[in-house]
Amino acid sequence: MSAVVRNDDLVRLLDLAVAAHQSGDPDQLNGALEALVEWRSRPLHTVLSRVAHELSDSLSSIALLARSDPHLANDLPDARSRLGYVVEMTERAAHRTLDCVDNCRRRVDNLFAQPLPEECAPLIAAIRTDLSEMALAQEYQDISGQIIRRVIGIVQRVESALAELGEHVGVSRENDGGLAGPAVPQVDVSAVSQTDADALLAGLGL
Amino acid sequence: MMDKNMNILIVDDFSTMRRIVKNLLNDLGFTKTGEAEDGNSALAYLRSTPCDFVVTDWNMPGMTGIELLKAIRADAALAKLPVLMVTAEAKREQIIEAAQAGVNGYIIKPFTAATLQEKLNKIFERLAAAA
Repeated sequence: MSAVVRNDDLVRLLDLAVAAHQSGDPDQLNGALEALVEWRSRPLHTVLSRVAHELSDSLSSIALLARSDPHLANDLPDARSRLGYVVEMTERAAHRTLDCVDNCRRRVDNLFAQPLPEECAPLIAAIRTDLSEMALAQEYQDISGQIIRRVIGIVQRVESALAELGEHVGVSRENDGGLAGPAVPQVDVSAVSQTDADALLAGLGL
Repeated sequence: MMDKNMNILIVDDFSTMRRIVKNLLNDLGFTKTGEAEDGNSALAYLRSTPCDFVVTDWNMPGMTGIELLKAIRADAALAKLPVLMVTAEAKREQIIEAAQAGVNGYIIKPFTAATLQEKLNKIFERLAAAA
């Protein structure tokens, strides 16, 4: 209801201003314009316009950020893949450790089965305890893996939000000329293996 | 006391954790273990293979551990199966939810061999007392 009243006020004030302008009366025009300015500075309007300004400012700074770093949108899927690779790599390392622990346990069990000097028994038992601890310590892989998967999810959500914004900003894919860091399979398709590197070097006479 | 010949199913989406739990159980004298990587495959296993005890993670893709627990309690043939939850989920509400769903024990990762042994003892003492 009040919005309708306000709109009626605005129409009336605008009509007054137009009439003043058409009649060429500067005093009347100034009065009408002042009334318009007063209408404009109403509290609700002020708050709304401030919010609109802040929103506009934020949008331009995000756009500026995306423009100054054109790789931002492209880096995110890359970051997800790299994090996924960390999970894979730690999983492989943990399994390798567990393989070695299993082998050592078998050896320790074989030692136990043989006639040994009495003083060896507590030593072998202590080795077995440490082997169990080493196996248990590998649970870091599960915990860190779960945390990394969570972060991958967060990056995914930021990526989607940024992709939406990117439609307004227009982000392009370019080579930044920086170092790539450790190669991640399926991500760094241009990365080469040691064999490839050796062949390349040999081709260069090295 | 615990029957060392019982069949234990280990459910976790991380193969390293399945292996660690299996190793710990072996250390405690339990050698008959099966593995599943989520609730769905665990249920399929339980419906086809005799099993006496389930150790399950909570957060898994597919069917989660809490859903598995509820499915076990809702299945007349499996309802009495003891379930131990071994999970990184450490919120009060979650532990309460698991308890309300009928979990027999709850271990928060990271955990130690001593914790596993203690919880197993407790579960089987309680089951023996109830029997």
